[in-house]
Amino acid sequence: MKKTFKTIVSFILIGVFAACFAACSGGTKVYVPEPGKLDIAGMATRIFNECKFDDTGLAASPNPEFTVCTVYGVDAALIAGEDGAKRVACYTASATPEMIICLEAVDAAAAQKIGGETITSLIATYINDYTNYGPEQVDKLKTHVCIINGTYLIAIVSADNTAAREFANKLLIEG
Amino acid sequence: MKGDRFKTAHIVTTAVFAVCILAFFALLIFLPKHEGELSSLEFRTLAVNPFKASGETLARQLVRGELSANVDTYLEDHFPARSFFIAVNSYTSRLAGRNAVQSVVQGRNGRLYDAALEIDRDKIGSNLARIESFAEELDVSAEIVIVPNAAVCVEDELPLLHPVYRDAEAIAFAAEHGKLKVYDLPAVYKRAVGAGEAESMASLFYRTDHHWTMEGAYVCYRTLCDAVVASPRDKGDFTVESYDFYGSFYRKAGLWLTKPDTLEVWRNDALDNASVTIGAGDTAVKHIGVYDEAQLAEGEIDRYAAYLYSNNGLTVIENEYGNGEAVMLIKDSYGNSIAPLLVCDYSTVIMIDTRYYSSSLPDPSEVARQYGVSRLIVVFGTESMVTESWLGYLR
Repeated sequence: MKKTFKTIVSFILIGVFAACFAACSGGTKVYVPEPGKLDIAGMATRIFNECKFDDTGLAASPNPEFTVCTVYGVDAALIAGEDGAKRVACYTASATPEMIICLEAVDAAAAQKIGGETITSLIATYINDYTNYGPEQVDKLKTHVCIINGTYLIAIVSADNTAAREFANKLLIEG
Repeated sequence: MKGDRFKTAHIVTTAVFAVCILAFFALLIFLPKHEGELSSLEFRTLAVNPFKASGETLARQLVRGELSANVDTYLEDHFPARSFFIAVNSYTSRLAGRNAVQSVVQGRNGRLYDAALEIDRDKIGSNLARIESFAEELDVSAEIVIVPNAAVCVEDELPLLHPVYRDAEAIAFAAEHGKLKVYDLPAVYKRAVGAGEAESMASLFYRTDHHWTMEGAYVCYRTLCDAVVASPRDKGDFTVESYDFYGSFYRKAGLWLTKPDTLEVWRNDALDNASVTIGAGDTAVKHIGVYDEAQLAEGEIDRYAAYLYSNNGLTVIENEYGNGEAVMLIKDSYGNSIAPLLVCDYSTVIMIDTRYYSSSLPDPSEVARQYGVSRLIVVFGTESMVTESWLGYLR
């Protein structure tokens, strides 16, 4: 009886592990967008049009390099350039922390550095500011979107970050 | 017999625990929730039930390991008698000799202090450089006021064991290494109290909030007037209204029995009739009067927000009874309570809060030239001077 029980349990465990390995094996090809190919300004505009924002003052920055580099502190050397201009687009608001940042970094490591350091620091500073003076905005900041794929980065703070994340995934991850 | 009594004790103990757990579970399930609402005591939004999200969102949260944290947060936010248990925790911590709760230090006489700051000299230097560059571009006189933590000025109410507050060091560093005049506010306050111009150091800062009181702002205003050889308004020129005020420390510390502060609103005809424009262009919002009366209503949580309609990137206040000149105030929230005093003198007061500025607003230099700004005053709490304050917008 004991031996039969051990045999049955062993077969069950073998089946479970086999299923795990089967789930891990092979798989679909991961999409990594080709450097220099995505329309940065177009992506930001689509996010602005398709995602939900509360702030009616949210508008495209006429000088996104100034906003992202001089104000937010992203190292300009980390952002890819094309025809003398940096590949970055940005929407900002003043009444709320809602924003859109789309950029292409010089390489994948630079994109990770921007996302992991500057965007993280930016969000933390905003959370500190809005905790005392606009607490209803803090949840938006805590659930912000920051997606990096290859050399591309999208950061969004919106009124519906769940939907914004899904949309940004479609733009950047799913291809 | 002895065994029976022992067994009975076990059963009773287990039953009591089970009843308590079931009772709290039932209360948690059946008590009405305030999901997504602003808590009046803690001044933050309470968590929404994470299981109300779509299946796809739940799956994503599960894969990322966020779901259990979100459930924890939800249960914490809606735990029965949450406020009571927060207070129990805060007061028992105090009895146990721990005088800091959620970074708020509990002093004597019901005074609460903010946590001490790390003084980043590089950040002070870079912030000063941006302000100086902006002042040079405008070619105007400029001064800086750095408002220290109350602990620097109200030392006699500090607890025996307390952090080291280095705000005076930050002010001294800014004065020595910058090109602009930096007021030594602790020294200004000491002189004012000594000369009988202020009641006491304690009266210059709120007990339950990180801001200076109207009296604290008024002493600074008098000093700013002295700098340009102007006669300051006398306090008697204003009608003063008083309101109960529970500040930021009260909301963080959970010491719900702390007595409220008194927030003062100083009124005169100029302030009640000043034209206030927040923002610019099509999205600009206009008000008459420098006080947001809605924030002074009964039950309002953050009465400090009554000063100039809380923090906004660009605010232009125009007083038709002013002296014909315009002043630009680069500020954080401390500037909101001193601005009404400046409005009494100047025809135009332009408030710039770079933390809430955006590229959709005109450049501050453009606004300064439009109104003919002749003086630039920076009013920052120490935290804004030693951390990132988005001063890159000053161009």
